[in-house]
Amino acid sequence: MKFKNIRYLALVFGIGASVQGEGASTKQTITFSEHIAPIVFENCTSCHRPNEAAPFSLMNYRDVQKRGELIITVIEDQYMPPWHARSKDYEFQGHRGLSEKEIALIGEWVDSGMAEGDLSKVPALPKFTEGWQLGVPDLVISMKDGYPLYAEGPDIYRNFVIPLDLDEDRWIQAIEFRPGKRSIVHHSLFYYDTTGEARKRDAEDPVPGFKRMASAEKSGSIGGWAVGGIPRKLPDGLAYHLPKGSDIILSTHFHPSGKEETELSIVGLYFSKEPPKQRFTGIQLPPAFGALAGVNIPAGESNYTKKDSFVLPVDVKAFGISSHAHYLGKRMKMTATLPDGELKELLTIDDWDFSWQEQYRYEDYVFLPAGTRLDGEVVWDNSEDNINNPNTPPKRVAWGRESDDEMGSVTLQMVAANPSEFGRLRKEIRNHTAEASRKARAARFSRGRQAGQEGNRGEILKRIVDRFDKDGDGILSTAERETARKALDR
Amino acid sequence: MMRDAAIRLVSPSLFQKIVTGVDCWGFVIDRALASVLAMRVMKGFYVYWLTFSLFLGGLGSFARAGDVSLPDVVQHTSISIVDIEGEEQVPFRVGEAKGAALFFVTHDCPISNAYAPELERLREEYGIKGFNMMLVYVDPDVTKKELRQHMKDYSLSDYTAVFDDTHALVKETGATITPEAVVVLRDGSIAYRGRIDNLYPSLGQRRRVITEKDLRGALNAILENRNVEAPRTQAVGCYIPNL
Repeated sequence: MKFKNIRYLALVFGIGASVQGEGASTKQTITFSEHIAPIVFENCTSCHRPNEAAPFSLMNYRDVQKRGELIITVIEDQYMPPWHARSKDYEFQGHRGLSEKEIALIGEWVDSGMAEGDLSKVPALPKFTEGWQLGVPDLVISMKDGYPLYAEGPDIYRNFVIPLDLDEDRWIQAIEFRPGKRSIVHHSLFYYDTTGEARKRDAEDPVPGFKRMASAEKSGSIGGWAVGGIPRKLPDGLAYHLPKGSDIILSTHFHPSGKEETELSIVGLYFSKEPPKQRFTGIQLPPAFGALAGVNIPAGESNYTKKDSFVLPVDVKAFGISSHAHYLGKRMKMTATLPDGELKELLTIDDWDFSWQEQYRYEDYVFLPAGTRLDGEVVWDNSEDNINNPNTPPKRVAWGRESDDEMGSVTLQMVAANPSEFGRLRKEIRNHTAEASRKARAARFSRGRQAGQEGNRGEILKRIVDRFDKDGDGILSTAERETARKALDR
Repeated sequence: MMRDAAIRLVSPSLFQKIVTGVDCWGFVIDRALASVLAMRVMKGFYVYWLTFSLFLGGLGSFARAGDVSLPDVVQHTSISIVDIEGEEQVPFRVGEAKGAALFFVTHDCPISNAYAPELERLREEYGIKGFNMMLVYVDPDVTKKELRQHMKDYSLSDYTAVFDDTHALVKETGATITPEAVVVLRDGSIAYRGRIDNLYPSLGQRRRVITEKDLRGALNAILENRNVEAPRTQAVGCYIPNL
């Protein structure tokens, strides 16, 4: 913003005719062939080519020249290339973005009439892998029936069940998602379900798939895909556990495109040959997608904030981070304060957009010693200024599973640096969740509800969570709840 | 920093903003003084700005002429163009109609495409009410066959559509974006130019709820012989591709 104002001032006062200004320092003409093509091919063409996610191709001079003004506008606004995560301390895999220098160069080229230059100097297009990016998958599955999407209307979130009928447990190293109609599929989150609950819901709904938001109801989360995302295997043979008999659930976000389309997604699963030697876990701050944090956002509130902290009991190596909120989400952040007091930025999302729920992986492991404090923060905007606000005028919104309710948390995925300490790490994370749960209940009593018995009940619930929370995420998933119910009924 | 500022001095997007700014000033005056006299004053004002803008444009050696000032009147109302079906059309010949509503579109702009159902509704509603409704495809690199397929895919086949591959209509109307609506009256004056509504506040952002239906407001005002309240708005979508 500041940058643009300075430009404007410069213009108004007639400072520095551009030709003179740059003539002194850069004698050569900026051309597509020599200067612009390498930037575009490297940063844009992986999506901007036929049959990929972007609406048009950027593969030659004419493709770029005809859209020069559009290109400089979207890259100056940082709408393109799409990337929403920030960390000044750590690199993310697959990071997309242009440097200020590259943006300035493209701007200069557009302003100077977009010269083509010497055709022989155009670099070759990068070699893109056609088809499956990680090779032939171990298992290819597809939606049973196509889902018809209308031409126009609100975005749609829909869950599709794909039965696997595996007769033994498997470990998933990577999932590759291939949308059928790239113009309408924006992102998809993957879950597995061992309860048959999702199948049942799908059967009850006459249209393929079912409506309810992805939530803790599903047995387990196994990653996701967003536009432009490149599938990657988990590091060092780590893998998601996929219990036998699981169904896969694709929780897919659609943007209507102006014409009716039918989506039939295809998914490739990559299994590890043997069970992983090491396990990983995630700490969610605040836990349970904010369910225990008392999220209750007054109408008009533009900076509603929830924070939560966790001190690592053992040395860990973090490898992934993601955040979640619905339409009112505004900012997310997780920082690490090392034992010596140094502050590290693990993730900042300045302008949360529900449409871009990405799962980020660090380029290298992030080592965090025992005693490091993790601070998670989620900010919501329930004012009229939030154009994503589903309510006009705004109304009070509380925590809930539907997309017009709110959730919010930041999740850091990690292994114990010393694998033998994994149990302790998981136990402490579990305790943290249980503690949040206890506090949530305490907060409820203090509001005067059934003061007498509840304290005791909270303690019992904590014990139940401790006992049945197999995956150690601090909440009871559908499968875990089912096990608990059966055990308690006995 | 200053060097960067100097390099970026003549960015077309910046010119776009300045030009929009000019238009905005136009509105303020337009609303305050709606008499013929005031209109004359306003025209003088535009001339002043035009000169100033040209001066600014002169600072950058490569400013595109189309950016510097956008027309308020169609200069050549008798321009004819062959439509997608091969019939000759005279888009600005309003005749007995209330006005000519032109929609500048591209086949591959997601925002332009997302408006297809609304474009079809507009044609149904305002065609009957006496407007000539027309689609203007402006990407020069497509074929008429592809455009016919596009119209079929997006249920726009009932429109009269022209392929403005020389940008003759673009230049006459001052359209810069797809989708952008331009409404021309019998005397050639441009009664409205800009967005259809405020569904997209900016690229990459889509409102859950539309709160301003500017084009419908303009068409209704013309039908009721009222002044168009906001005759110029900023369209959001894809820049019209260069020739």
